[in-house]
Amino acid sequence: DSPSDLTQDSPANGLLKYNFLSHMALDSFLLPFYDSQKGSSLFFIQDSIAVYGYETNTGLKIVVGTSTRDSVGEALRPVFQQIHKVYIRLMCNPFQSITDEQTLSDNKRMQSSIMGIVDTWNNAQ
Amino acid sequence: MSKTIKATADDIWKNKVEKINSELFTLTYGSVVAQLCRDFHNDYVQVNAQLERMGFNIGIRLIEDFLARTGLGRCQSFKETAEVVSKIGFKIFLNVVPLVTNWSGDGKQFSLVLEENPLAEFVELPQDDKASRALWYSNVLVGVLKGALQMVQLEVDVAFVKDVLRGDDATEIRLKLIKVLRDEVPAGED
Repeated sequence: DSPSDLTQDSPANGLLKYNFLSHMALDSFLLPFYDSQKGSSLFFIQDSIAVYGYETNTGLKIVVGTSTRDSVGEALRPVFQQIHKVYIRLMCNPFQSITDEQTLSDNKRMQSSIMGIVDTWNNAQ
Repeated sequence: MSKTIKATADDIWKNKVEKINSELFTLTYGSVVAQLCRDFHNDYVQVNAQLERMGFNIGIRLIEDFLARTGLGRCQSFKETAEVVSKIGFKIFLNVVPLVTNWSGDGKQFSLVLEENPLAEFVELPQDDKASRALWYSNVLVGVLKGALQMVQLEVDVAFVKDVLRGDDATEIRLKLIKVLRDEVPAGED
């Protein structure tokens, strides 16, 4: 349950903010209103960033934040599915440890795939 | 000639081969390799040897299935053997057709270049330098080829020379014909 952050900002303030947002999001998964059957849900809006969450039956939680003004919950569903696929691809590597969180975020191919998904989404907006 | 081979192989693949899910296959093989690495404490030379031995045991059995499925007779030359291995053998068992290339002048050595390798989907070798220098992830294929060819009286030296998992530009297996093992005429059949 400790978040693996993949953020595009490197300045320290940005990192702290995303760290804070991801911890808040993790707590949101535990709230009674979260229904994992529905796909992605809007958790909260903080500092003009809307945070959406998605959880699978295996306990994998994906959190996406967007600064888009309109409600984009439905439109984000394919994004969550693509991120999920990237994760699955990483997990299919027999040398990848599922419990080792450090290597999850260190994996360069996974990072660049997710950046690619983010860029595609941003360009489409 | 090559059209017939391709048509034969396509027909066998489509109609006479039962299929399984490829992810299941890839994950199964992956877990074998990963377990071997753990069992041998990352002694990749040993892991390679084990994979080859396993492959050999598969190959000596697989050849019977191959011959029964294809009904092929004896190849007349090592060149023909190469074509059959790549266009029919690999096709019906792995649904890939490696390129036959880099023939030696005497016609006793060639390479198989695999553009895709179903054994190694999603695989990334461990980051430590040793694996990418010492481990041949798909070494089971080496054993399969050796075992299968030995059962048709060809003693062939087989080894990986390149692997994209190691960062090479291609995945290449080198085969060298050592000798043709002569058939022994059964006693009393002169």
